[in-house]
Amino acid sequence: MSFLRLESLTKQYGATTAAKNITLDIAKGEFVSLLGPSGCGKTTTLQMIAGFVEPTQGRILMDGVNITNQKANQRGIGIVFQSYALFPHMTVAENARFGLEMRRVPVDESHRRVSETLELVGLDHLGDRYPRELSGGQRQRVALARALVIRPPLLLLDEPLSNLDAKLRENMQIELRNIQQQVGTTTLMVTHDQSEALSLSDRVVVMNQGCVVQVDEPFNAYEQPNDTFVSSFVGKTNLLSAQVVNRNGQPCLRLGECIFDFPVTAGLESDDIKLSIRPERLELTDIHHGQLIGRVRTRLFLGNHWLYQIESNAGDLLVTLPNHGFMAIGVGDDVGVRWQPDAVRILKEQAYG
Amino acid sequence: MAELTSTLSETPNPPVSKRLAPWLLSGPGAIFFLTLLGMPLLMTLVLSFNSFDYSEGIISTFTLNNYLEVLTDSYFHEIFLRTYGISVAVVILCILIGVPEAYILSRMRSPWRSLFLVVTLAPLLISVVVRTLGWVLLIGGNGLLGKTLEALGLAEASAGNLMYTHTGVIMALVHVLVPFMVISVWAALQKLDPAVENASLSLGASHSIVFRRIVIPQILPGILSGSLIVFALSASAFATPAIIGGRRLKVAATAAYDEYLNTMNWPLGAAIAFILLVANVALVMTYNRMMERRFRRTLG
Amino acid sequence: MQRNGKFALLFHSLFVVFLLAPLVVVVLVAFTPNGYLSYPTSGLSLRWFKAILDNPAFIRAFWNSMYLGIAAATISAVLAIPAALAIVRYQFRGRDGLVSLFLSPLMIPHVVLGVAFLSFFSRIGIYGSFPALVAAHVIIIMPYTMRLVMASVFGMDRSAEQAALSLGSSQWTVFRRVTLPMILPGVAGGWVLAFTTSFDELSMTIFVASPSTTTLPVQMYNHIAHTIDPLIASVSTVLIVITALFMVVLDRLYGLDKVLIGKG
Repeated sequence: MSFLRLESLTKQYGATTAAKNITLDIAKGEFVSLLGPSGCGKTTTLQMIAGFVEPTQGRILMDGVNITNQKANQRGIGIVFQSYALFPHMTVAENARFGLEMRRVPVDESHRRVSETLELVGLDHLGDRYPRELSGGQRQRVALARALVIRPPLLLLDEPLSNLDAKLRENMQIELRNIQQQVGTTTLMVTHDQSEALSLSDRVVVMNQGCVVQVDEPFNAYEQPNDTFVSSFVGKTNLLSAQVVNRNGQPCLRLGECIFDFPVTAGLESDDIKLSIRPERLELTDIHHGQLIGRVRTRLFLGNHWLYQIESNAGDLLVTLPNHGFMAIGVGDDVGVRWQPDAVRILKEQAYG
Repeated sequence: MAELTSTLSETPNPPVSKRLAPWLLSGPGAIFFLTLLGMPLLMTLVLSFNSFDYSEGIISTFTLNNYLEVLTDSYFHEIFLRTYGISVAVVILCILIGVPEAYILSRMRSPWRSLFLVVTLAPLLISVVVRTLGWVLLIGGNGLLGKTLEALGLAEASAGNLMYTHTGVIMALVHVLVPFMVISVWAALQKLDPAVENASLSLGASHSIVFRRIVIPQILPGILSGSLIVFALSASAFATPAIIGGRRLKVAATAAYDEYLNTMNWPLGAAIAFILLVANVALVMTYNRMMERRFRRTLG
Repeated sequence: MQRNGKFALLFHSLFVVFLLAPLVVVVLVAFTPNGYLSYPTSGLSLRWFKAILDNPAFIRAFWNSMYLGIAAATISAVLAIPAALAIVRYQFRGRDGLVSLFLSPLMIPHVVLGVAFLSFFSRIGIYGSFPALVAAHVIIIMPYTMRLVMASVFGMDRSAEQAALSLGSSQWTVFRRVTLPMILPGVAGGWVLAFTTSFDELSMTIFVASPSTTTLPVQMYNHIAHTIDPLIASVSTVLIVITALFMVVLDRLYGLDKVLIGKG
């Protein structure tokens, strides 16, 4: 049962297509992220749903009602803006009360709802402050409270955490997820930060060049990327060129000097294919036990893990190893690289735009 | 944010209401300006081609006589020469005084800097009449300057009387207009990256070389725009030349005033006014062209 | 930051003396106990301040200037706000022309505007009237209002308006409750700059003011053209003091340098 439905939503600015044929179903209570690099059309899509940008084509249905031509101020959608867009001349409580005033909610009720919502976001003690007197994280919460107080059927978050520093961002991620689950509002978030999208959402919609590339649960988007774009945008990966070769009448893959079986080589159009292996799925071993042989070029210590760059016949490989408290392999060492068969993904070349 | 703003510029074919909106919004102001600024100027232009007779007043004809008179009569030559001569002198003095002062201001420490900036700019809010009166009291017949000179035994008191002299008019105009130069240069100095100055010092340049080779070239647009403002305002100044220059040192603005309110020869006054206007507009336009061409590339 | 050298500080001191000396002299003369133009050597007296009260022409001119400044600044703000919104937020043909139109009075010598208004107003029969004076002043102060209002519209975060829309406000409510309060500092700064420009204007007003609508600068100019006495010094002193108080308030509210830079 879909609550929000986008039907081939398209937006053109002159000759450029900002969003192309966006089709998407979001269930009630779901948390969905639009994930993509800047200019991929995610913000345009959000703005069309909000009613700030008119679609060139397509329809938007909310709860079965076509809202494509409805004005922004009649849609009742809650929005948290990237810049927070707080009203600087109003206090925190006045900011939160604004939407209720517009709905002519009686004073007692609006008073109660404002303090409930401020309590929900943990700002009940700061109602009399002005936005300029608040920290970035607190402003973020005010923006969230202001959007939630009207009990919107749909909540749109436009890069909500991008203005916070790294540590605060992590805390807010957890809190945002908790609040969303507590109030159960259907939520659509726009972000370019893949870890944010993966950790917060029920499903991610990966976009590139105005198109939807993959809609999937975070784990699947990471583990089963549809194409080269998704695999490299969602998480780090090694994108490698391989060839389909014949070994004893059996089609196999060749990667550098390593030839190995692969279950689903049938149906591959070309002999040259791209495959992806995540850095954490590669293991380093001695040169006799590796499927590939290489030499350590760079080693970076990243706190909880090590990042190695290995030169090999198959190209440069990134390998991450958990930190176990001792330094094992150093720069210049010859190493073997190996992987489990299920770590390898064959990818389509990106074909859209 | 870039995405957000790009979505604000709307589709190529917005609905009629959206295309009309800017005109509805700016309409009242535009109509106000077109009627109350356009009509009077047009009327004055027409008037400058009319002729005037002392017994009959203004006669609606079409004649170039007023312009010919202004352009050929040595009396008017002298007036316009004086007007622009004074303006050039005022601009040069404003540069010599205003540029170093703006630089000194920008190097002051925190409370002093804003205090003296306000001291420099505040006279702009005080009426020109008051400021010119101050100069009359300083350089007038019985003024403080003469008395000081006498008391110091440097000269006789009459040497301090600069009323009705070019020096007096120029001094007072510099006083009235130098804040504009300071503002312009100050604004240009604000855009300067202080690290650039330190970089040139670290490369072995002396302070005076830094000022000449590093600071001046970067604030040149500010100096030029300040000079433009000072020149334009000084060429069209009325109160200061009228009070300190008096009848003896007529400039374009006071000449137009006399033709209108004393001689009542409005067509001639209109011609003087239009020449002043055209010279001013031509100057500003030339300057804008020049700036666009020269500085857009380097100092955008 | 480097410090200024001795020579720089000497230069600066001379500059400040040059700037303030004429104003100080005016204030000194105003306190003279003598009946003629002189410096108060034998003692200070307020007799010339009392003399202002016996001189209704100055009082009337002062109030004329006040009303004129308030009316003209307010009308210019009312015209400038929608025009600035149109210019900053819409792309349309004629946009640049419109900006030039509103800023054009900066290029036109005030004397030229004065003679133009003189013939225009006498032709349509409203010469010397208060509304005519207001209209003329709106023209000359509009560039200042326009610049500051345009700057504040430009600097405003438009997503606050989108936020208000998403919360259910009508376009008019968005303007009244969000846009206007957010650009108010710029509008107020523009108003103040416009008011002081109107209040001090002489070169244009002298052509269009009649005896009944004479403004303070015009009245003072006519007085000086006739005679220079301690009375005009005391009137000027009052004006200096009012301006100074005004500047302190302005500086507290907005920062004087910000407002004044709009003048250049």
